[in-house]
Order: sequence, then C-alpha cells, then structure tokens
Amino acid sequence: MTMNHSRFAPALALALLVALSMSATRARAAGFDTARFGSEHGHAAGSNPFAVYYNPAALTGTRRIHLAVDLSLLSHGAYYDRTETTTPPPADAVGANTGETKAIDVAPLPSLAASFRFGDFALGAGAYAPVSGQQRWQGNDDFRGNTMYPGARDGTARWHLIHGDILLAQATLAGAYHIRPARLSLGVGVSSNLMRMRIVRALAPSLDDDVSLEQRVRIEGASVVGSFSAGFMVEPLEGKLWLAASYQSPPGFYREMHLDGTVRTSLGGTVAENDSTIHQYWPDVLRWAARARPSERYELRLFGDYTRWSRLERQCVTKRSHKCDVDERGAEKSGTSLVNNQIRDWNDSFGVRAGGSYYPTARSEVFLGLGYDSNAVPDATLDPTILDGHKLSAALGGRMQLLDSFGLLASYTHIQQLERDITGKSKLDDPDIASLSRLPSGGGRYSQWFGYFALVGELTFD
Amino acid sequence: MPARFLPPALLALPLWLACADPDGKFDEFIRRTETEPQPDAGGPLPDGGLELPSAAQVTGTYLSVVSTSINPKLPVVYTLEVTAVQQGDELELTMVDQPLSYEDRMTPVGMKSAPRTLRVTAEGSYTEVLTDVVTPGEANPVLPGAPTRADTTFNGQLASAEIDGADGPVLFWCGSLTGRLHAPLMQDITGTFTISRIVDGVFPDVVINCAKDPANPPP
Repeated sequence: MTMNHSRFAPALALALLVALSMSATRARAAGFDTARFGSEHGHAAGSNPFAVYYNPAALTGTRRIHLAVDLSLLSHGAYYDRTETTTPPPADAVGANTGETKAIDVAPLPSLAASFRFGDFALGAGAYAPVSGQQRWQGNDDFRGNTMYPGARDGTARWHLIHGDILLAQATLAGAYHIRPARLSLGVGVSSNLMRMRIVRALAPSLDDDVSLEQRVRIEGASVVGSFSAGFMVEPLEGKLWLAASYQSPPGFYREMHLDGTVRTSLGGTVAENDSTIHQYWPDVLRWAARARPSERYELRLFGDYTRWSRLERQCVTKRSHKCDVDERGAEKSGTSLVNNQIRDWNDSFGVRAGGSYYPTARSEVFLGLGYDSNAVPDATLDPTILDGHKLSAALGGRMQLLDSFGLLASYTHIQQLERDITGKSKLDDPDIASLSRLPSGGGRYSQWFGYFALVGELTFD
Repeated sequence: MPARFLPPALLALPLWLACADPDGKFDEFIRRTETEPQPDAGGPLPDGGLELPSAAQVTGTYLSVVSTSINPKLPVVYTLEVTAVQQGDELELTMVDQPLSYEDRMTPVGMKSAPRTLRVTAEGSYTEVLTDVVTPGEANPVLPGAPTRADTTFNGQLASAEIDGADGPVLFWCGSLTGRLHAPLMQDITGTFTISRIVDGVFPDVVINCAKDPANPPP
C-alpha cells in the first residue's frame, strides 16, 4: 500500500508524523526497536496515554484528561569485527576488508500521547517512532588518502552499511470501552505509519567485496500505510490485578509494503539515479502484561511481546512499481526488473520484562525492571546493517507528583546485547544464492548496547 | 528551553539534519574518486590506410570485444560475422554476433543475434544503435550468471582499420561506445570495443581498446 492508498492519514496525524520524523531522523545509531516510551510503565496494562500504542483497551485506566510527553535520549554503541572477506584484497590492501569498527552516537527520541475519558469511554491519540535508528560506522584511518583503494577509508562494515537510517513513525487514534460488570475493557486503534529507509554501502559490480572494483550505492524508499490494533484488559481483582493483551497489525495490514524511492549508483566513473521500489513484509506484534498492586506501597509487573519477524523474508529492490518475483535461490523468475534482493529470513522474536515499583509516599515512586529480548536475525543473514542478538536489560527510575496535576518520571534503561561470533556461519555470499541476492560475507563478531534516558512528563485532570 | 537558547538551537538544526543524511557519505566517495581517469577510446586509432576498405576486405569472421566502464578489463566477448556490400562509395555491413563464454572466450553461449545492418560512410565512420540487447549470464565476466540488458551506441572508424598488407583483409578496427545498462544494475556506461579478425580459426588476443591494452585473463 502506498501513500495514495492510505485511508488513515488525517491531517493532524500527518503533521505529527512530519514533526516526529524530523526529530527521529536525527537519531544517530539509535538502534532498531525503540518502542520504550513510557519507560517501565509502557506496556499493555499501563495506565497512561501511551496505551494508545501498547494496548488501546488500557486507555480506560487513564485519568479523565491525561497528557504524556516522553523525551527519551538514546545512546547507542555497536561493535563489529569483520573476520572474513569474500574476495581477499591484494597485498597492498590488507586490512581493507577485515578488522574492527564501531558506531557510537546519541540522539533524542520524543513521543507524545493524550487521552480523554468520559464515563466508560476513552479516546486517545499519540505520535511516536516505535522503530527508529541511524547507524554510521566509523571509517578506517589506515586508508585515509589512499588513492588506489579510496573506498576502504569507509571502514570494514562498508560492504553492508556505511551510513543508513530507518524510521517507522506512527500516529494513532484509539478508543476504548469499559464494561463495568465484567471489569473488562476493550479497545481498538488505527494508525498512519510513515516508513522510510536509506542506506549507503559499498558495491562491487561483481557483488562481492573486491576492493579493486569498489563503488557506491544508495538505496532509499518511503511509504505511508495504515495499520490497526486491538486489545483487552481485564481486572480480576478490582484495583489490585490487571491482565491485558493486545495485537498490532503489520503496517500495510498484511500486504507487501512498497517503499518508493530511488537507487543511486556510482559505477565506472558515472553516477546514475533511478526510480525504485523496496518490497518487504513487516511484522505484527502480540503484547501481554500482568500488573498487580497488592498494596498502596507496591506494584509488580510482568509483561512481554511476541513479534512475527519471520514475515521479513527479504528486502527486495526493483525498478519502480515492478514486482519482486524471485525464486528460492533469490533469482528473478522472469524479466530484468530486480535491482537487489537482500535475503533476511528472520525469526520470530519475543521479549519479557519483570519489574516493580515502591511508593514511599503517595506522591513518589521508585521502580526497577529486568528484561530479556530474543534474537530475530539468524547467523546466516546477519550483517552490520541491522544488528541483533540475545539482549538483557535493566531499568531504574523514579517518579514524583510535583503538582496535583503534573508528575515527572525519570529513568535509565540499559540494554546489552551479548556478543555474537558468526565467523564461518554467514551465508550471504553462498555461491548457491543467485547473483543479485548475494552480498559479501557478514562473518565476524558483533555486539551492541543501548542506553535510554527517559524523562516523561504527565499532565492530568480529573 | 530558555528563550535565549532558541535562536542558536534553530540555527544548528539544519547542520544537524545535514549530518544525518546518508547521501553525504555517497557524495564523499564521489569526491574522493572523481580525479580518477575516465575511460575513453584507449589511445590513438591504429595506423591504417585512412581509406575505406573494400567490401571484400571487410567481409569475414571476427572476435568482437566490448569493454565498458563497469570493469574495462573484463570485457564481454563475441564472434562477429560481417558481410559487407559496396553501396556506391559507402559500405553496408550486415553483422551477426554470438556471445562467448566468459570462462574461455571461445565457447558459444546463448543465441546468435539476428542479422542487423548498418551503413559505413565514405569517410569510414559508422554509428550502430542497439537497444534492449540481452547478453546471457554465461557471457558476463563481471557478474557471472547474471544476464545483462542494455542500450548501446557504437561509434566505429573503419577507414583507419589495420589491413593485412596493401590490399589484404581487414585485421582490426576499434571504436568507442556509450549507453545505458538496464540490468542487472541501472547505470550509464561508456567504453570501447575492438574487432579483430579470426584467421584460420585462430582466436586473436583479447584487447579492449584502440591502444590494444590486453584484457585480464579469463578465470
């Protein structure tokens, strides 16, 4: 679905998206899944306006008028030690394709949401970037000024990514209804999603990593599509226990996303730019949460998600508006419209987080949380474009009700990806893969971390 | 944010956004490489007779070598059957080419082309425009296995062809090309071509331009 077909792009939502995208694209190396807004209270049973995103049914737990602004500051560090090369460089270019590189950066990532509750109904709206990141790998100073191999200066990750960004900005309208006798809330939401991707990487006409043929390619595309969400929240023990689950459809619903843009190539001394389309399927997400408040002093939380990343089998680039029609080897079945087909073959992933809050006074709270997120990217297709692995997280923060109508939350969440060594396991350059679906090897050691400094202000009126 | 910080923050915003543009890294590479020499015809035209050879001198079977800016040292190679007919003071050439394997530059792969005709002026120059030509992947030395599709314009000069002796057959001519590659990559291309006679079934050396620079050996 393209912008022309989007049915869920009201003017206000688009305005929010534009504002948000301008902020989010500034996020350097900010990672990939950035849906952390609301900090430890951002989950399917949360009682704040970010329920618009996590579970529209939970909007019935918000205050009569409730505004929330999350000013997260993200720091991100990534490490890649490329240990293998598809085409060994000549003797005077040793180190051009293998060795260590890093990406380190800091970026703001704002989100905002608001809700309005009247009787048993609640309405909400929000704008956020659940997926956002920009990654720029460090260059290789050993090749600064080298005119024989001028591309090597861009570092050892360059065959997959020199600099790129991805943004999924979402604006949502949602509504919920609370069925009092059943202590059950039901909610639905519709979203307008702006998705944009841009990458620059090295390219050899031989589609390997031959430094003597090295050139550049830039691929970019964007699309606006709709999505929906639905959820429920039940309160088995009134005021003490909440159980919730929600479902968020893929952007573009269940159809293939088409990100229209251009491919810019530099080959043999000439630069060309051609209209193109990126084809991909994005995942849907199932979220669940349990929140218990055994006393006024304590709250316990257990929540998680299941994301169907297995839908992302490939990211295929064709000439504008052509079909991506490839076989199991990644070969185009007919025609010559295929530009590039990056095989992903990702796996479904899940995350689980547990935490709790202690309320020293009625107006203050301290909280902590621990979590685990599984790995979606298999060894065979991992590359420095999008890193992933098993991740552990820890969060610590507090909240103060500074005024009757204004509360402020501050927290820090650290996510550490355990090191992965996929030397000898990359299949990106497998000769059995058809030529336009082949990439240089992604073999090597990877790790990364994220640090989220969250500052969330909430304005409430009853 | 205090009001006094707002103006500098707004001023800094475009810089921040500019830094975030991945296109910057693309352009940076172009700047680093723009001093590299661009491919051209590859040297002076051979010292031929500067007269248009006769039809009988031109007719024959040749090795055609097409070298593009994508990777000049890895040309696509064909056999080329040329039949020339005198048309007043001009020549009409009918050509049929057969792609050869990139692996040995001798084994035919894919189909022969349909016969095509072009006119050589009395001064010896000609232009041949080929559109939507698909070359099989087995003949593609740059990206083996990937068929190519391209529009190409060849500019040749037959009056400066090398001739065997005074009135013998044409042995070699050459020229330049421009065009656009549509698949597997979309790219404007430039390049050179050479046409060398196959004498008694013996394939000549594979040279890529008028200066007769050799191609890289096959794999």
